[in-house]
Amino acid sequence: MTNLFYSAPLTRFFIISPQLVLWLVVLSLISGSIFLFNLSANLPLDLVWQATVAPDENDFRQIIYFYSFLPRIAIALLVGAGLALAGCVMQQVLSNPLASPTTLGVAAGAELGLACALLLAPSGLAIDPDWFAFIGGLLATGLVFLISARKGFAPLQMVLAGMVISLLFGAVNRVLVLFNDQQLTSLFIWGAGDLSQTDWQNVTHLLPQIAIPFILLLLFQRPLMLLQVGEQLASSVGVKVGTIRLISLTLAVFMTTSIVSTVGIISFVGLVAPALAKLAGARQFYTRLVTSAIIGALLMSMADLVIQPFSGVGGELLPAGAITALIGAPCLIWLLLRNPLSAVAKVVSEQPINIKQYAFVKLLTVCLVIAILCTAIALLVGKNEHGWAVQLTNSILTLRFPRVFAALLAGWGLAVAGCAIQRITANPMASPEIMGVSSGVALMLIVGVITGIISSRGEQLLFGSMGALLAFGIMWLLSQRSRFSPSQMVLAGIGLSAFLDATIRILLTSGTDQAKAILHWLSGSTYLATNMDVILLLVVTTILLSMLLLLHRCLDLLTLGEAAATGLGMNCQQVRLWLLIIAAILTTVATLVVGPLSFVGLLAPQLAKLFGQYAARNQLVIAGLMGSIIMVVADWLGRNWLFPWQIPAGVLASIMGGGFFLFLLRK
Amino acid sequence: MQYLLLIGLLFGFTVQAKTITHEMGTLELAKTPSKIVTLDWVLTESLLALGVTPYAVADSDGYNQWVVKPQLPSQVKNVGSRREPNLELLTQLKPDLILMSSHLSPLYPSLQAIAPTMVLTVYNKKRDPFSQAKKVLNQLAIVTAKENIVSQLIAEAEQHIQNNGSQLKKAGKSVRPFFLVRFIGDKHIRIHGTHSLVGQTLTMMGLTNAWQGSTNLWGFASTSVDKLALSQQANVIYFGPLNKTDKAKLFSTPLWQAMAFTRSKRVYELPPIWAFGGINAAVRLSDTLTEALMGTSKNALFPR
Repeated sequence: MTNLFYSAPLTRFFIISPQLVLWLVVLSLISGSIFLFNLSANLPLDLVWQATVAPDENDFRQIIYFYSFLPRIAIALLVGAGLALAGCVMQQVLSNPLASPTTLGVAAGAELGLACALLLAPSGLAIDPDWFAFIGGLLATGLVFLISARKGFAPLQMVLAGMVISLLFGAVNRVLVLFNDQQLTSLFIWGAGDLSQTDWQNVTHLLPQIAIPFILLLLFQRPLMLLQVGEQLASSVGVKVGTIRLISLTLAVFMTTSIVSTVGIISFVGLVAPALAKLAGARQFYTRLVTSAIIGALLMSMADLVIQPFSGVGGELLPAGAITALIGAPCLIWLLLRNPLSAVAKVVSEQPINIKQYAFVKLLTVCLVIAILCTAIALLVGKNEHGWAVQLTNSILTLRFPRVFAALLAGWGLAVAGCAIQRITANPMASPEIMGVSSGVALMLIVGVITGIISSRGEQLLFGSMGALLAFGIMWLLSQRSRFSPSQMVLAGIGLSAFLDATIRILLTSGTDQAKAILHWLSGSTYLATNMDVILLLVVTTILLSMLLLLHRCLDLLTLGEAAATGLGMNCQQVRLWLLIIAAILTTVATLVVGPLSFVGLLAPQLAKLFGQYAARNQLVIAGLMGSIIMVVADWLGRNWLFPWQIPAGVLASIMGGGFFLFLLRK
Repeated sequence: MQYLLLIGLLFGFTVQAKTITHEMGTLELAKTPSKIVTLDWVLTESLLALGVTPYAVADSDGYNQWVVKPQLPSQVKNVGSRREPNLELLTQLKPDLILMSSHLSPLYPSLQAIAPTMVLTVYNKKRDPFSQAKKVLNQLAIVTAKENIVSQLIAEAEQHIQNNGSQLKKAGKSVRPFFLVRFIGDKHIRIHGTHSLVGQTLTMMGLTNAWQGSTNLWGFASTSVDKLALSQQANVIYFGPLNKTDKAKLFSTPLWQAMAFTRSKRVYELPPIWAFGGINAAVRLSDTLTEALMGTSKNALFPR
């Protein structure tokens, strides 16, 4: 063991595989030629030297080259390297090859901070809004650390917490955007990560913020390297694992927040670059750190250089950040399929929280009464011009009826789908939202709307189900390799929701009305719900719930694990497939009405368990009722809180649900 | 009996129910509506230009901040967001007429159930907002019984814009092309092309638009500040509000400092102008633009 402590001969660090060298050369050649191509389009090559050394202020080509083109390349290289470094460190420290800067909530926190700065800070304030973004990012990551501290920063716990914080902060941000879209236009461009520069200031500002942590990390490389051999081993040779983790993670987070607050949200470089470095044969931490940085820098500059000539076509920006997410998300899923990740593929042990066991019938009665009460209040009580009032007029009831019942049924459907998914995957943290199924639905619908293929509800249902099944298909493939490992599911979910997020961000930078209309639907507004929707939801949800109730024994068996279920004579593959299809359709119809994010599918089954309903049949019924209650309350609050403005039910449900989920994680 | 019928007929003729065709159907109006709700800022602006005060509008606070003029009287009620106006409140307000644009088309049946609804759109695929705005104003005039003033109003507005143009020409201020921009943060701009309302106003004033790149349905392109360098001999006109931090940051960059228009002080800030507005916004642009270039102040043309 002792030889781990002796410093290896310096030359060993520089032994890089020929494969790696080849990779780097190819990447550099591609970047270089795109660079030359873009350059020659803007500036005659014989002027390059002069423009670099002493630009002629009277020649606009030289001005653009020196103050815009060059700093943009520099910032791309710097940002790519910085994010790759941060990603590499996080992956090492969390022993999770799929951790990355964006998965720890940094981006969402920074975005919320910036939105607050733009809305709340008085315009004369001398504080740079970047600082708000910085503080927001740190705050979000701080929360993630706090939540996962109890479990000793367990990788899955951290990634999950990061994802939920991202969704939660994203929901709050969504509310701000819906009410202030004019003021927040700049946030849309920032959020999509456009790298345009007007001077060297960002470069000089970022350079030390990345270089200093990098040097510090190099000083830490030996203890960090030891983490690779395993936590127990590392601590047995005297490494203070906790301290090392905390310091290096803080450095990584610092780098990320600096970058994000300066240039905007850029996803996946921090994930893909270290993964590529590993693939290219960089085994040791030190080599991997340096190689990741180089690959990250090259990837980022390449992406930005490739899209630059296309930006402006049709009057729209093409921001590098969102484009990297569009490329990065499929990369993530590909990596997941390649990598079985046995080290982190542990199922979260379920600790029943001590709460009194309630008899099913008693609980059912209480839930039913509450559900009926809530529905009655939601239908009859509301605000008008003069304040609160009980309204019984026909015209008001006709308006409220579809909204209340759409919320009720969507909540029901999502809760039941959530139950099924949690049972199928034997994973208590699974849900349509977290597994990216809802994102799959939303993506297909957006594509359908933009291309003009979708016009009727039936087509929406068809497209949405296709999206859901596609998402499930990916999960299915993954599950074959990892036996439904929670971390795989969560990460694939992150990939899909990042893909959706990038699509939305690109749409939003266009600033058009169509994009904002899509945003409203994505936020889960029941505004446009009709009686037809209610009938559709009622029929589909009732039929599928009955099917699930008939299959309740299968659901119970699946929870026992595949071996036990097979032993008892069940064809696990086939049963799972059918259950997945049912869950897909349920998710689709509910998502059509309340949008892709609400956390109801996660929250309601958990609540049912909290009240002691472990048997599949009981859980399905109670969770369904609770899901309905949550959505009806969210919809009612949303309609009345800021009257006459309305907050979409989905957003409110996800703020309530996200908060509760974080509380569960903390337990 | 026959006399009664005759009287009835005569009475019927004097009331004269109007049938009006709009973008999504037809509308029967027994009398001139007095409680009108507008769900779109350009429609609010147009109604006010005709001298009609709407009963309620969508997002009145936003209107006061972004459209600014013609001023919205404080008694006008607010019905919530422009995208999801509060249907329950609308029902309780019992309007005589609701005005919406086709960007809200999924809402048409629900609104139609509440009150007669008219669909009028200024910004559509025709990409000719000024003519569309005139058309909309004419239709609004028919509905609100302002036919007698509308043609004069439009003629005056067009004349006014042209006069502003010739004033600039006389003073020798119309030689250089113009950039019409709004800054988004400190690195990005929305730049208006010839198919935008402000771009068309520029053309009517006999001035040239410096932006020749492509634009979207609303007539603008989102791009980065460095694109302005491609035509540095142009004047730069930007609409407020631009916050102080962004302004300080942007204007102190070497790129901005190096541009020819900065060096010869040809950058002009105008007050907030709703670039997606109607006739009034066009007049307001031409007025404020003339003021800025000539250093004079103008009498407001609207509202009358």
